[in-house]
Formats: sequence, structure tokens, C-alpha cells
Amino acid sequence: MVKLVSLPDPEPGPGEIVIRMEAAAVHIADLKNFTGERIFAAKPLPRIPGYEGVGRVARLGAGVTQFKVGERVFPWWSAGTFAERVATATRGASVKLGLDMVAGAATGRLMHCMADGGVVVNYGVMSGEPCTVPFSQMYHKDVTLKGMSAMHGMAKRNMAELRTIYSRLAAMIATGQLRAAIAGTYSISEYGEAFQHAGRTGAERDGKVIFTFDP
Amino acid sequence: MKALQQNAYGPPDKVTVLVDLPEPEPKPGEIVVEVEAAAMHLADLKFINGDPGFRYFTFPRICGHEGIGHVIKLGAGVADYKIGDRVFLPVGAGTFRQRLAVPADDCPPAPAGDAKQLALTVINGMTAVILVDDYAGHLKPGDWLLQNGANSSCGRYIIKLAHDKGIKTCNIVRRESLIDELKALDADQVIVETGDPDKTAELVKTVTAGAELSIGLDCVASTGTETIGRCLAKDGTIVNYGFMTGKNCEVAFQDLFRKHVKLVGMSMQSPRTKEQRRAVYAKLAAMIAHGDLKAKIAATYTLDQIQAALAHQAKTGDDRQGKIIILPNG
Repeated sequence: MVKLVSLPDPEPGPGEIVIRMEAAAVHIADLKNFTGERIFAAKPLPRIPGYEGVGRVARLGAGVTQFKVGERVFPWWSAGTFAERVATATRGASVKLGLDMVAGAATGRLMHCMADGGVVVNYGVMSGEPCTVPFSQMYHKDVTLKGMSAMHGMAKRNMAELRTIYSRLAAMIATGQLRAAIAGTYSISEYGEAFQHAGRTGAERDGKVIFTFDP
Repeated sequence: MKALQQNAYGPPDKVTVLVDLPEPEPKPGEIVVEVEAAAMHLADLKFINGDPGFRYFTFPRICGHEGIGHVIKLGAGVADYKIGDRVFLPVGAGTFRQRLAVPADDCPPAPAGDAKQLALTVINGMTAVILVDDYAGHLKPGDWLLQNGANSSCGRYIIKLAHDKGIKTCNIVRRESLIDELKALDADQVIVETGDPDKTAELVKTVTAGAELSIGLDCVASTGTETIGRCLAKDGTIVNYGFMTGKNCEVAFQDLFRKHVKLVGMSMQSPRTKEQRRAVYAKLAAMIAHGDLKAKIAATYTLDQIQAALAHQAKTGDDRQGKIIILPNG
């Protein structure tokens, strides 16, 4: 379903920059995109996968003044980061609450812990099952199960606010205050092995799978 | 005096027994009510079986959650009622018995009319009002209200209460034979559940001409909940108030994540004062007494036939055909 191809080097359009990728994270959602599970099936093919990553500005399109070559940037969501170079627009930059990314029966177990009027926010589907909540947890408690939509949450914020959030996160990550477990790093040519690793779970995977790109 | 007593959780015929209790005497502030009709609900079976979420009793207890009757004795200091007045019994009073003593203050007054129909005012009626007026209170005339389990007593009330406010209802049922029946009750659209959330959502979209549905009522649970979620527009709300399937509510990640659909539980603890609740009961009771709200009665049983009534209640769809009503005094 996936193969490494050699594409012409991207040319930046007006307002665009070309990013030379340094690292790109592999998410469960990337794998779901490959298998075409339900909501992940809507993308036209062929496409370059990859939701996120980090890289440096390699070329500037006409009219780009806020970046210079060599600066480090985050490409915008779903830019297709499993590529050495990406052209992107320059926007790159009482228990009342339960967070559920497992779905299935786990959603109901979280609901069980909620106080009256509590909210469970679901933001992932690791179990691959629909969120299930027993009626006994719903009735009389006025509890709510909400979906979390990242795009929704982002649409509520303007670009300046988003950049503030990204700078704060990046500073915390750069100084090690936020730290992800990295399960393995692979060069883009080892993509088969990398996706296989990303498809494992728990102790078999032990963190994020990251693509690196030769400098 | 006969009463249906439950001694433990388990199969109805094993754990419930018809007992003979002493005649009740009213304490100060109490009235003794002779029960004319008591409605049986799916929940009564779940309380007897001890299903998860339905185990909060100490035993022995008398079964039956709602009913209507008339006053036969007055305790000291009771001024609001006189002998012969009709009253609704408080929720959970244990109505599968011939007579009981209850605080007069807890009993809303009831009108004349068919006791079998009026016996559904307190629970099904109030549930329908809370759903239509509170949870769907934002809907304007011409907006659509989606619901499944539309043939239930509550579903039928919802159709009428929404229609009276100019709100259109899109109703999901399991049997084609119900389409004309519900349309005769002012249902705007009635469709038959396909069993596939995507297909049912397509049907809903067709019959509502692609209207943006902001709210859907779910009393089915399982994939019934998922189907409601699939039908709703962005930011829509599923209100769950029952689980006829006996299964958990299921909501698909795609609807939560992409459409930001919410699932909320319905709470009977509506922010109404006692006076406001009584005003709701009075309005409902008047509508029921006039036949504006009408439940389908499957059968009536006496207390001597109560095991047959419980077995009938355990059936569903064509095999039950409506509400079971207990007539404790024949």
C-alpha cells in the first residue's frame, strides 16, 4: 500500500516555504489512514502520508518575510511529513473531567468515576471500538461524553494564539520538561520496518516511532 | 390486603411473591390511597432482576413505581385532600398493592378520566416533558427533533408535545406496521431502523431534506445510540434516557472526533420547584384525560395475575404491543 518514491524537489509558491524535514513522528492515525478505517478513509490517493514533524526552512517563496533559510519550523498538520522536503504555507507554527483515548468499555469505566455533571472527553480510539457507556452511568447523573476535535479546538484560536501555544510547548520540549518516550528512529527508507513497529502496542512498541532524514 | 413483595434479586417468579399485608393506617400528614391503576415499566423488571445500576434496595420491598388512586383515609392534619379525591402516587411508592399510606404532600392531585391512561403521567409523562422542554428546549417551530424507540409510551408523548410546539419529529421504529400508526399521532416522519447506522442516517437525511439535526433522543442504546450520533449535524447532542436493548450506549469515534457530537445522560432531577412540577403534572393529566396524549395499552392484569403480567412485560415489540397496567383492586 505504501512505497518510497522519488519526487521532484518541491518549488515554493508565493507565500510558501520549502522545509527540509529533520524528524517526523508516526501516529496510530497514520496506520489507520493506510488501512482506510472508517473516518480515515477519505483521503484522495496517491498521497504523501505524515501528520507532523519538524524541519528547517530550505527555500523561500515570493513574499515570505517572516522566515529565513535555516530557521526551524513545524509544518502545518497533515503536510505529508514523511518526505525529505515539504512545501507548506507559512502558518506552520469532584472528578468533573475525564480524558479517554482508549474507547470501548474504557469510556464507560471513566464515566463511572465522574461526579454529577461530569464530562468525559474522548480523543482517541486505541481499542478500535466505539465508546460504550452503560445506561446506569448516564441516567440520573447528567454526565456528558464529548468528542475532542483538534481542528475544532484550533479553529477557536487565532494564528497568534496557536503560535504562542506551539512556542510554549516547544520550549518545554526543548528543555526536557515535556518528554515523549521514543521507541525507535528510522530513516525514511526503512519505512516498512517503521510502520510495523508503529503498529505494535504497549511494551511491544514502548513509545513513538520517529522518522529521521539524512542531513 | 394484597401486595407484590420482592425478597431478593433474581428471576421474577423466584424472588417475588404475592403477600397479604395488614391494612395501612395513616400517620399524621399521611393519606391512605386505594390504588386504581399502576403502570408497569421495563425498569420494574430490571429492579427485580437486579441488573447493573438497578440494585439499591433492601428487602423485602413492595414493587411498582407509579400509579393513581383515590383517598380512603386521612391522617391528622391533612387539609389538602378529602375522602374520594383522586391523587397520583409518588414515584417509587410501591404501587403493586391494593392500598398504601403516603405523605399527602408527596401526592399531586389527579383529574377524572381513564385511570389506565392517567397511570402513566408521573414517569413517562414527566420524562417526555423534560426531554422536549428542557433538553430540546432550544428548538424553534419548524426545527426537527430526532428520536428512536418512537413507539414507546414516552416516544408517543414526545411526538405530541413537540408537535404542539410546532417542532417536527423524525421517528425511528423497528416495524413498518408502526408508520401509519405514529403518523396518525402527528409524527412528521417515521422510518424503519435498518440496523446499519450509515443507512439509517441516509434515510433520515432524505426524509428531513438534509436538515441540520441538533438533537436526537435515544432510549435504545447499543448501536441505536451510534445511529442517532451519525444522523446529527456538527456539535449535535444525543440525549440518552433508556436502554431497551439492555446494552451499553455506543458512540463512534468518527462522530465524536469529526462532528463533535456529545452524548448526555438525562436526569429526572429537573430544576423545577414542587409547584412547577405540579403544574407540569396538571397539564399532562389534562391532556391525557382529554385523550390528547394516548398510550397504547397492551393488557391489564390484577394482582392475582401479576406473574403473567411480569412475563408479558419481558416480551418486546409485536409480542407485547404497549404498556402493561396493573389493576390492584380488579
